[in-house]
Amino acid sequence: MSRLNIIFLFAFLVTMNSWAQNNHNYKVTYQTKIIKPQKKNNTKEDKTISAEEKAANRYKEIIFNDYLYSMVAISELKIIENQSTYKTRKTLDEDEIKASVRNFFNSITKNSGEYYYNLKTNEELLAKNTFGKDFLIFNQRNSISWTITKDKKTICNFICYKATATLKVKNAVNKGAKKKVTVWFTQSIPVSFGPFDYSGLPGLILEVNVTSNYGSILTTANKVDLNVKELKIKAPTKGKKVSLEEYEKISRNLLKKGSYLN
Amino acid sequence: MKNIFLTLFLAFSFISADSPINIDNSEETSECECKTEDTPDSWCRGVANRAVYDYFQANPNASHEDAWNYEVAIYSLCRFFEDQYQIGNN
Repeated sequence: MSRLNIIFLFAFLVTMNSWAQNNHNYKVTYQTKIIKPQKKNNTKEDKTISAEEKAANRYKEIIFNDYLYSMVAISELKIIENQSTYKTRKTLDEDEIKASVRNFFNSITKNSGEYYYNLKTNEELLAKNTFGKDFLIFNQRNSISWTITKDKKTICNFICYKATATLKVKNAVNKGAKKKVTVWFTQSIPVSFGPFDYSGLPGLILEVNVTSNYGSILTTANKVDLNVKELKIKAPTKGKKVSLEEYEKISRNLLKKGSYLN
Repeated sequence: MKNIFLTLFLAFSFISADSPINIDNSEETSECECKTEDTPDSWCRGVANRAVYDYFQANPNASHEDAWNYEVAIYSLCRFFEDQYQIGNN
C-alpha cells in the first residue's frame, strides 16, 4: 500500500469516527438495582457484644433487607455530538427513613448527582449534593484500560460485547481501594459513551456490573432512543467548584471528627 | 458520652487516611456502661457511629459518601424506633 493510500485510509477513518461521534443524538434509560449476595452476612452472634453493636446490627439488617435490595434507580443518559449527561430521576419517598436509605442506595450505586462529560476536551463534571452541600467536582477523565472479550449478549435488541476493567475507587476511605467493573457495549451505536463515568469503548455501554461486598450493582439499559429530536444538554453549574483532589480532601477532613454527624 | 471511645478511635484512625483501616476491638467492652444517661439523640449517634465502624471493616472499598449516607440512614432508623419507644413509655 502506497503512502498516499495510507494517508487516505487514515483520513477516512478519522472522518468516519468524527461522523459517528457528531451526527447522532441518543437518549438511553437505565435501571439500577443491587443484587443480594447468596452468602449470608457475617453478623456476630456473640452474646458479649455491646448493646450499641446489637442495635447497629439490627438496624443494618432492616436497612439492607427491608429497603436496599428492593430499591431501583431510573436514570437517563443523553448524548449529543461530543457531550453526554447522566442523571438519576428524583424519587419522592413517603417517609424520612426511606429517603435516607435512598440517599445511601444512590451513593453506593453512584446514582447521586449529575455526570457531565465532554469527549472532545475530556473534561468531566459531577454535580452532587453531599455532606449537606452542593459540589461541582471537575476532573479530566482518565482513560480506562478495558479488556474486551468475545462474550456477547443482547440488550434492548442490540448485540453487546463484554469488557472488563479494574479501577481505583474515587473518594475511597482506603485510598488504594479498587473495584472490578464489567460492562457490555454495542458497536451498533458507535459512540464512546456510557452511564456514570464509564466510557472509552468502541460503542455505547448498555450495561454496567460492579462487584461490591453488599452484592453486585447492576445498571442495565431498558430503552434506547435513537436520533432524538430537541434533545438538549447543559453542563451543570450549581455548587462549589472543586477539583477531585480538593473534594477528596474535604471528605477526609470530615472524618477527622470521628463521625459524619454534626 | 458512651461513644467517646469509638469517636476518638475513629478520629485517630482516619487522620492518616493513607493506611488501610485496622481496628482493634480488644477494649470494646468498656464502651457500654452508661446507657441510662443517654438521650435518644446521643444513643443513636453512638449506634450510628458503631454501624459505620462495622461498615468500614466489611467494606474496605467504601467511599466517604457511602459511609456518611449509611451513618445518616442508621441514625434516622434508630431515632424512629427510639422515639416510638419514648412515646410508648409516656
